[in-house]
Order: sequence, then structure tokens, then C-alpha cells
Amino acid sequence: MSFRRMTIFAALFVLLLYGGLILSILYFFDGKTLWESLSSARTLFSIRLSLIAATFATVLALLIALPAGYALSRFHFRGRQIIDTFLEFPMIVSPAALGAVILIFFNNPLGDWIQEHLVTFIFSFAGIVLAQFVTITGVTVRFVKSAFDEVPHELETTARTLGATPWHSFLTVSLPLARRGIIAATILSWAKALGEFGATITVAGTMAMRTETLPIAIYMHLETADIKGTVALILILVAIGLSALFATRWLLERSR
Amino acid sequence: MLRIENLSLQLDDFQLKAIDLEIKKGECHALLGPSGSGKSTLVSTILGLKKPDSGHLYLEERIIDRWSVESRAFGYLPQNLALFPHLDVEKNLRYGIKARKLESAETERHLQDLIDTVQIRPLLHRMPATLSGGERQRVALVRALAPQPNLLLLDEPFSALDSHLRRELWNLVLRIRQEFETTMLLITHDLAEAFYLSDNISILIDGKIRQSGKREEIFFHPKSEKIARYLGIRNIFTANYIGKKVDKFLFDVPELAITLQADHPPHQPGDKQLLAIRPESIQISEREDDNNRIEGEIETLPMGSSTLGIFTPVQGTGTLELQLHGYSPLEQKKKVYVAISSKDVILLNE
Repeated sequence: MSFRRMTIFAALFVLLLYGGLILSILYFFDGKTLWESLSSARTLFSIRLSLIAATFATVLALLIALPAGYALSRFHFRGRQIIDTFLEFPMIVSPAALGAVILIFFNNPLGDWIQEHLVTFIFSFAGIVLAQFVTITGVTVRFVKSAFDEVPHELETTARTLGATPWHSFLTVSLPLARRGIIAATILSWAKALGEFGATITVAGTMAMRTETLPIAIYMHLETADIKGTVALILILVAIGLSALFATRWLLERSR
Repeated sequence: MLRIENLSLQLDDFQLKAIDLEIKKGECHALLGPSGSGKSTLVSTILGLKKPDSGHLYLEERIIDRWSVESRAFGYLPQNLALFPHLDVEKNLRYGIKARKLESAETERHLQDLIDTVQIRPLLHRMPATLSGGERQRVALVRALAPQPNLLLLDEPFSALDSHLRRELWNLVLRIRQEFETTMLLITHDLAEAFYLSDNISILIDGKIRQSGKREEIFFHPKSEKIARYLGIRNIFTANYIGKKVDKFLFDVPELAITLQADHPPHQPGDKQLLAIRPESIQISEREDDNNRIEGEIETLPMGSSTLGIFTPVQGTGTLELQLHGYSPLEQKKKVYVAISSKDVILLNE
């Protein structure tokens, strides 16, 4: 087998793996159940909750990732290597462990004080956003850093010599040139937040019409052996997620 | 205009040592040095990207060590030109004017004059990616000059170009200097570029300015062996000072089996003295009474527009490299005499 053919086979295997898994659930597909799911208040609540929470978490992550990614890309400072290593922290601990860490934090005196005086996170919407935020921030910073790495330093130096302040240079040179990477980072982080399950269920629980995001709803249906309902919800989640990813590709192609 | 006084900077693996440099208003000063000599580090310090450990930078007698990059108002033309790829040519040109909030009728007139002088009007609505190498150079030059900088730093901007285009842009830089009286600091490792464009030259080797002065002085009177070799002089010999005769100083050069007359006394009488002779200073001698006359034969090596000759004296073990103009390459191995004027015998320090 030629080298070219072997690599293409590997790529096709990826499609077979994910496409096959999605197709396999169609064995239990039931149009009526899908329609019922889509028109049920509980499912619509889960969809809305998932979309809103993922959007909040992504915006918060971006607010941190834009300056942090820029700093990691551009400046040498004490602790830079440690921060860089910690970006992968949410990936190396399992999502459930990450949720447990958050839960334990809120049982500490500081966490307790925050819950009492500022925001209640446990079993609440804020908890969902927090769990998703903690899960995606590391990877969002990593993506944004890579986007800024692609912008040559010389362009910023030249902008500064032309009279731009660091802020002006960031807004008029670095940010526009990194925009494709930042758009990709945003949509991928959002998709990751949307599908987040382990940390969310640990922190926010499984309360119907309160903290039941789409992945949690899928889990709840599966637990009651409602396979058709599970498949319907999976298809809804896959449709939203894939739409987001295709939108990314389209936006990136357009901004080329 | 810009004065650097006793500036030192220690980096992880490199050091700038007690740099003294003065760039006068309206001059083009070349900072000449080989790769790794510290040119980029010095440029970063002048631009304000690196802070010196000690010493000061003065702009019109004001200390600017702690000034930000943007407040120094130095124009910068880097090697890769750094045109903003997401902005068209006109937006690139106006970037500095907008950033410095310099919009005025006078600035606009200055910009339009530059656009016409550099002949880039047809390019205004093009994107940088669609420009040729020469066009990009012109646009970057105008962009750097548009906000009327205190000083323009040209950081090896022509080194990636072919020789024809490079010569064209050198002439353009000379024209801009004449028309707009721009003060320039040219950073280069190209000897021809430095001598063609600048009034004064400073030579930076191993993080230290080794010699600074008018270009003629640098060309004809390099101070040390290191500088002479960097300037491409290969005719360097150890001589023994043997005394003074009338107004000339006599040096015995065993390698050439000759006693050379020089206009200058040895740096340390009694000691050995290093002498250098520029290839251009060696002439084919027709007269028997020429100074410092040596008999030998020439082998010629065609080198572009001029001819490089290797002269081997009849006596002695050394050779002399000389520049020949119109000397036929066919006359190989012909016995000739060469002469060196006593004023062209350079006495080196180290």
C-alpha cells in the first residue's frame, strides 16, 4: 500500500468511526419520538439552558483567554511555563474529578463565603456556567495563544514605531490578524461547553427544568432505559454541535 | 539628534559593551557589523524594546531611556518590511498618521509628496500580498516616513533583494534624504551599502563599537586588524620599524622583502607594527622613482565589473591583493612593478 493511500485510509477511518457511530443510533430512531422531544417543554428548556450556559461560559472564557493567550504568546515572565502546563489541567483530570474539585472548593471556607455572600453555584445555573467555564478556559487560552503566535512580532513593533500604543497595536494589528484563529477558538470552545457533562452534573446536579442541560437530559433518558428518547436528544445535540463546527469552517473560509 | 552614551546591556548569551554613538541631524549614519555583532540588540534598545542596564540615550539632549516605543517617534524599516497584510497600501501609509493623530493639511501634503517621489500612486488600492519585492520596499519606506519621524532606522531592508533592485533603492534613499532631509540610521552588514549611502559609519563587532567616523576615514584608515579584515583588506603584514628618513617612516616588511615608506610613525616605537594596504591603493608602476616599488608578477581573477589581481613579488613569501581597472586578463604572469603611495600605508593598532 502506497504512503498516500495509507494516510487517506487513516483519514477515512476517522469518518467511519464517528459517522458509523452516529448512523448506528439511527437503528433506534423514531420520528415521532423526535418530534415529541422537540415539542416538549422539558427538552426545549434543556436546549435553551445548554445554549445560554455554553454561550456565557464561552464569553467568560474568551474574556480571560484573549489577554492571557496574548501574554503567553508575547511576553516572557515568571511562571509562564507553569501556566502553559496548567492549560491542559482540565484535560488530564476527568470531567467528573474536575466537578468534584469545584464541589470541594465550595465546601472550603472561601468557597462557602462566596456561596453565601456572592453567588450560589451548587445546583444552580451559575454552577453549570462555572463547570463549563472551568472545563473550557484552558483549551480556549491554548487556541487563542496559537492564534496570536501566528501574528509576526515585527508587525506589532512596526505599529508601535508608527505611534500606536500597545492597546492600539493590539486592536488594529494583532486582533484583526488573529481573528480567524480566535473565531475557531470561540466556536470550538462553545461546542465543547455545549457537550460538557461530567463537571456539570457533579456541580449542578440533574434537576429537571432547572439544571438539566442536553447532555444531562441524555443521561437521564438513558438511565430510565428510554433508548428512543435518548437517540432523539443525541441527534438534537449532534445537529447543534455539527452546525456550529460547519459554521466555523464557513466563517473561516469567508474571512480568508 | 540621537546620542548614545556608555550604553551597556547584558542578555542571556550576549552583551552590548559601553556603546557610544552620535547621529547628527540630517546625516545618514551606518551601523556596520557582521552577523551576531549586536546590531539587532542595539536597534531594539534604540527603538525602546529593550532597556539598557547602564548608560543613556539622548534625543535632542533629553534622556529617553524610559520612553515608550511610540513616544520616541523613530521610523523603522525592518528587513521583512512588516507591511500590515490586512490593510491596503493606502491604509498602511496612513497608519502612522492616524496613530499619532497628525491629520493636517501639512501632513497630507508631505504624504502626497512622498507618494509622488517614490512613485507608488498606482499601488494605493492594492493589498500588500499582491506587490512585488521592490514595490513592497517603496511602500514600507513611505509608510515609515509619513508621520515625519525624528529618525529613520533602516534595519537591513535591502539585503534580500537582487543587486539591480538594491542599487535602484539605494538611489531612491539618497533622493529621499536630499528632498526630505531625513536623519537615518542604516543597519547593515553590506560594506558597499554602508559606503554608498552613509556620511558616517560606526563599526560594531562583538557588541562593541570598534571605530566610528566619516566613511572616508573608515575606508582609508581602519584602526585595527579586526576592522581592516572586516572591511575586506587582506594585505596585512607584520613589519619592523627601522627609523625615519626625511619626513617618511621606514618599515621593514619581510613577507614582501621590501622596506615600505609610510607617512605615519609607528604606534609603539621599537615594537612590531601591523601594516595594511587597501587593494585600491596599489598601482601598476611605470616610473622607476615611484614610492614603495616592488617587482613581481600578477595573476588576474575576473570579479564582476573590476578585476582582482594577486601580485606575487619576485622576492618574499607573501602576496598582495590589488584592484585592477582595465588590466587585461590575458596578460597573465607578466612581470610588472607595482607601487604603493606612502600615504596609503595604513598603520593598525592591534
